[in-house]
Amino acid sequence: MKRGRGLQRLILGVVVFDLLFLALPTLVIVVASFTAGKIVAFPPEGFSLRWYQAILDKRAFVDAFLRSAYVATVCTLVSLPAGTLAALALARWRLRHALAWQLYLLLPFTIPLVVSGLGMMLLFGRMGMLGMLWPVGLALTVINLPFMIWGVAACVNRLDPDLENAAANLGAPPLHAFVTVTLPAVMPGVVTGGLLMFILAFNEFIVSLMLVDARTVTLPVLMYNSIRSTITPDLAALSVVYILIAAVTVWLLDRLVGLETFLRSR
Amino acid sequence: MQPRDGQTAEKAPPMVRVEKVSKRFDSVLAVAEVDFTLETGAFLTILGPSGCGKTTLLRMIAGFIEPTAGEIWIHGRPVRDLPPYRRSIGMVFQKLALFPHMTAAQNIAYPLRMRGFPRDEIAGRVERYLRLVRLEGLGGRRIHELSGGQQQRVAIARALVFEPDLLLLDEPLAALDRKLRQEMQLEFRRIQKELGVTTVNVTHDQREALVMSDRVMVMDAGRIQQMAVPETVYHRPENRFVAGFLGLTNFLPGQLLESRAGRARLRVGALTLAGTIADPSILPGTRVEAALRAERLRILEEATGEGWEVVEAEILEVVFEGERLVYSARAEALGEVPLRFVDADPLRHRRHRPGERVRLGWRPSDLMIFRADPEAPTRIGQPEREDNG
Repeated sequence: MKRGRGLQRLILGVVVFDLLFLALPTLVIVVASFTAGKIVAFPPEGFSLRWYQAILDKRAFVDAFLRSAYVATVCTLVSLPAGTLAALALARWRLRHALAWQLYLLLPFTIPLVVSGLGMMLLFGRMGMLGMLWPVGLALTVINLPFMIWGVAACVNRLDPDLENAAANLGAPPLHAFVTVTLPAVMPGVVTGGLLMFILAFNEFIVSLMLVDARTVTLPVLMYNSIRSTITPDLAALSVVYILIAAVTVWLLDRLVGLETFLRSR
Repeated sequence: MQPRDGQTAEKAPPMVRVEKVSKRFDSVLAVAEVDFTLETGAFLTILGPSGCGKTTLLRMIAGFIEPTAGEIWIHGRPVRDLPPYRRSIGMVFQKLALFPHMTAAQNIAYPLRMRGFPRDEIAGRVERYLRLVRLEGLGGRRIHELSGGQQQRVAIARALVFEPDLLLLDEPLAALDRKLRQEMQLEFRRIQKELGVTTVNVTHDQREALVMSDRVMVMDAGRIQQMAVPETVYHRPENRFVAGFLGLTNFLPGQLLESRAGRARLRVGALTLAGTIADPSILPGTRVEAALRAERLRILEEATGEGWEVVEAEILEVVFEGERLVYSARAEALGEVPLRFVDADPLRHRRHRPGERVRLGWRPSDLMIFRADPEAPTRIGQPEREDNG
């Protein structure tokens, strides 16, 4: 009995350590952001909100934040119909070469982001779209679309295969059945995928780095550029903004879909 | 013998008429020239093993699958060109196919909304059908908040609320546990009788077929093997397949000696036995199989009266099934095939041990002679098992 308790304590210790380790970077940055000093330090020097005031006062940060939001919105709006329809087609229709289609749609995952970014830089440059912001959203749609498809597919696969037949049997013509039955039934997957796409695009760095210039810089790229000159506590404050956005996303997911459903679908 | 079908013809056209319908999937003939009619208000169960074509037939009636040949008529009207959503058919699906994003009441209201019923009539009807399936007060529940039995009830209310010409049941009870399934069988039957809706049910569960139906159609290999009232299908099977599919049946391989006016004699092993024969076309000398239901065979303790066939046998095995004992025994005179028989009242009878010698008897009228199944010359009938395939 005693030995069993010893083992239990050991396991508990490992679990606590792991949980702390996972949260550590986040905790450090959150604490550091409240410093009153002039450099990022841990433990921080005193307590103040001055660096939060600083990022709000700095026009460049606010603009970059808005650009990131814009890019994420474009990405989400494009991927919602594309990913939903692709997932439905893959799961519901007896497609010819279904496996090949599936592989093709997962292709972005198999290619390093640097390579995708480079390819798109060349393509967009050729098409004269390099200085524009909305193509960045499109690029992020392409590299992250598998997440959207997975989100919806996990939901579609749980549906009764006779769902559309039932709708038809009860008097609904095909388009009507799609709008009133299929689409609402996969909505949890669509919401999950959509939120995922938004947060991924909001955070995306590598591909964005290659597609933006000084006038269209997004927040992660701007932060990176700032780090290269001086590391000031305003970056820690910005990081906390990111953590907040992630938290809001998770909260939304829980409200709209239910975290339990989301975690089970993975 | 009961008439095969369609003897109770009325002036009105039958609710369902299936005319020489076949369905071929690539090289497989799933349904082969199926032909039958179903009167208004009848409850038909299509019974057969998985892959016998029963579900394909049902889906052709619903309109999800198009027949390769033949014609289906509903209410006197050919439905070849009618898509499923224009046919007036309610269906309860195997996994129910309830709409997960709607409440029970919204599910039931769906077919009414699709048909453009006025709002207040929808509300009234939904209430009425919730009451019919005994779900009063649960209309506001989401589907996943309901138990399995309650979900069944929502599915049947949804299939009936728009008063379809025809109700189709695609093994909706197969996934339920035994007790709930038996309860729902009676519930389906009650509702069907109350509304008088013509119903076609599909199942592989012979008990369900016998309990629920006015008519049973046994299918195998895409063909109708027999269609009649449940008692007839059970007691007067028309062929070896039907005799083996229903009940616990022993088959004795033998050779026909003579056959006249439904009575016949055959040779099994060293014995000559008398029995009944339904098919007059079987000629003497043909390989046949005599079917003997386990419950018609019994141990004879004392000297017997007239009219019993008796063989000596050795008990091989005894299985306790609660309300009955199932014995298996070997009668040397009938060959090596073990015979199974039941003791339906085990509390009042002595339990025989393996190795014990007994006298087994049956009445000649219980021995049914069929043309031998070429594929399984000495197979014993399927045990009476209710699997949820």
